Amino acid sequence: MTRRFFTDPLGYRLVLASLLIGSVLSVFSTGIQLLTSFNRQKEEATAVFTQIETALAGTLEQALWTFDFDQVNILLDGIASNEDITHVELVSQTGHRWERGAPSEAPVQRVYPLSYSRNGQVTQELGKLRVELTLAAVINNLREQFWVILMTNLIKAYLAAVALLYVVHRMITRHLRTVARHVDNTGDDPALQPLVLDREKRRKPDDLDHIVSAIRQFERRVQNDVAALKSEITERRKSEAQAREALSVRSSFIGTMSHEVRTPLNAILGFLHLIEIDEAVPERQRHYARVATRASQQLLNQLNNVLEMSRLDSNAVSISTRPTDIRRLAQQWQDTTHAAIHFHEKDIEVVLELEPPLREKYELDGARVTQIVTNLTDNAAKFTQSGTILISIRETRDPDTNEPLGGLQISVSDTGPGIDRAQCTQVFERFTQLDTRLERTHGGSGLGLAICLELSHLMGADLTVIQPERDGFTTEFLLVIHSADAPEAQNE
Amino acid sequence: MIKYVFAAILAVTATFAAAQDRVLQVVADDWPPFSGPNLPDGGMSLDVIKAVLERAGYTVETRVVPWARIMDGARNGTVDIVGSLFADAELAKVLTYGDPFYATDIQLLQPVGAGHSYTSVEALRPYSIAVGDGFLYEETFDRADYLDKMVVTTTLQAVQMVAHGRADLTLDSVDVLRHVIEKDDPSLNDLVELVPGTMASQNLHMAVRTDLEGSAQIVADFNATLAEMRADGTLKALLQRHVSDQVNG
Ligand SMILES: Nc1ncnc2c1ncn2[C@@H]1O[C@H](COP(=O)(O)OP(=O)(O)OP(=O)(O)O)[C@@H](O)[C@H]1O
Ligand SMILES: [Mg+2]
Repeated sequence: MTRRFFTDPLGYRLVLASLLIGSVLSVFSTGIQLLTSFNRQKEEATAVFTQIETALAGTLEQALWTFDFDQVNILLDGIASNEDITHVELVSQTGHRWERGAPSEAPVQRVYPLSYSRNGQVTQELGKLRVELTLAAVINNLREQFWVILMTNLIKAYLAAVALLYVVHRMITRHLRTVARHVDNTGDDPALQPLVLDREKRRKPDDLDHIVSAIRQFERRVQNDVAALKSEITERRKSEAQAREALSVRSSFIGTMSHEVRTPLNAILGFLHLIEIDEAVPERQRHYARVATRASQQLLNQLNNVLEMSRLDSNAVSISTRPTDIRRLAQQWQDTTHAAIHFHEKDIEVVLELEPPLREKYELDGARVTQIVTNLTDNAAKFTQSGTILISIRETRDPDTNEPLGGLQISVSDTGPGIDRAQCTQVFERFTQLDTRLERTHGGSGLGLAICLELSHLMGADLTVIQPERDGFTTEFLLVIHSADAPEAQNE
Repeated sequence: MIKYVFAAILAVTATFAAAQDRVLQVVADDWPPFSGPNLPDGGMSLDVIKAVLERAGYTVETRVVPWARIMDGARNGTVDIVGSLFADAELAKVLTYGDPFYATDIQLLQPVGAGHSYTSVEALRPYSIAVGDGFLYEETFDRADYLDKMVVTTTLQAVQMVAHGRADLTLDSVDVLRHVIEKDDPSLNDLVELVPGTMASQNLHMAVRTDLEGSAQIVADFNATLAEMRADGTLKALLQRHVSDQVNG
């Protein structure tokens, strides 16, 4: 356990901090002790001044008064014989002067004014006795004491630090460890064992008791919450399964329904076509037949979209890529666009732009890419009144280095009414049609772009509305197929 | 018992010494210029006593010793003759005085310009006077307890106290005063002066221990030779080696 509380980083820091504080305080208290000691010793040393005053001054004054210089000399010798006294100087009013010793360093001195009064007459000044005392002995003594005091204080502080560390470990750290271990072990099953610390119960709970009771409460709450969550998860799973079942039921229903509707609709279209081309049918009835054809085709188109959407929803659509000739595909898209323009009886130019360098083949699911592009060109043909539809194809390149990135980007631009920036993401939502007026004139289900987006996600591509790059164009849809690199062998 | 034995031994020794024409021990205390260890030939008294006794045919040895030792020696026989003495009734009980060989005036000393003059001891009442411890000046003065006397140990101290205004007056033999000022601190000459009027004139004697064998003879020889020397002028020449008349007053 000793090892433990020494290797404990908290313990380390505690030791360091308390050593640091202890050291500072030790130095401080050493200073105070030395100062007190110095003052006491100085007081002791200077006590001799008082002795001189009481013992000698009176007789010295008498001797000076009567010019008894033998006596003066004896007295001064007596004063100077004290080993702490380094210098004694007596100067009398009559111009006589005596000296013992020599001025010393760091002296403490006392000057005694000497005077004499006889028969209560006016006191007469006799001279001045100056006694110097060296504190060298005191300072030496302190110098010797210094290390002893400092070491004692330091040892005291360090022992206190270690003791404190032990106490902290006993009273706090090991319990915190127990708490940590308990929380660790509990993991996600708080039902294990309640947290109990190895300590005596006290009448007045302290912070550790608070922590323990807080953890117990927390665990109880977590237990309840987990139980609640578990039951909720089962609930959700159940309803999810139900929802999935309902969805698949709906999808298959829609699928069947679409199929069931498409077959008779094709038959209707076939017969309407026969009427249209029958020269024997009067022109008026043939016109009706043409209108009916268009309506039916729209209906068919909508059905196709619903069907596609439901296939996507039930994950029935898969992507399979193969080396595909992009030029042939592009040609086909141009033709389809022409057909769509013709269908809408508009006069719009279709421009196909293949930006070199382009390889012959790319790894694509041609049918799905065509489905997306056709949807885009259909929209362009549908919403544009006049002008140009531009189909542009190029390889993806790094914008900085212009290095090919191995992908392909296909954009469809037109000169139609354009799409507000705010609505650029909205158009990809299901059943979204921006302008109700247009919708009325153009028909449609609002599913086209939603299908395109899902398909592009399926093939790992991005489909977005961007600000048209070229002048004169108002709308541009950009399909970026990130990875379209065909294996080398099949390329060349 | 032991006392008597001791006295007997002493007597035998003394007799024996006299028979041998022994060396006379002449001592005086430190009292410049009359006697002192650093004075030429031990000072005036020892110089004169030695010259007189040698001329009278004695062998002498002179020494300067403290007063206490002199009194002791006179009692136990180690001292034969004492020099530098004023006449004193107490001393006369144990010593036989010779004729005086010098007379000195006892005079007061005052700070320069103090303007005192001596009339009587009684008139000194208002003044503080520095006096030597145990010194004998003049009988009336010595006995006058009513005076404000400040006791010091040396004449120099007393002179300095007067010079620095700590005592109004001091007194001594003018020869002593002059000598002290001249030898120890000539600058005092500017600060003090003698008070006009002599308090007393004292004679300077030598005295022989009365119980010394042949003491009467010694005194008689001394007196006779001294008279001769006074007459032929050798005494005057001797005295002038030791005293000067230069000090104020
Ligand atoms: N090229 C375009 N120019 C202007 N608006 C367009 C263009 N393409 C699409 N839109 C707008 O986006 C809406 C959604 O298009 P989307 O193809 O999903 O539906 P739709 O064409 O109306 O019907 P559907 O395609 O199902 O027959 C359109 O109704 C139209 O408002
Ligand atoms: Mg559409």
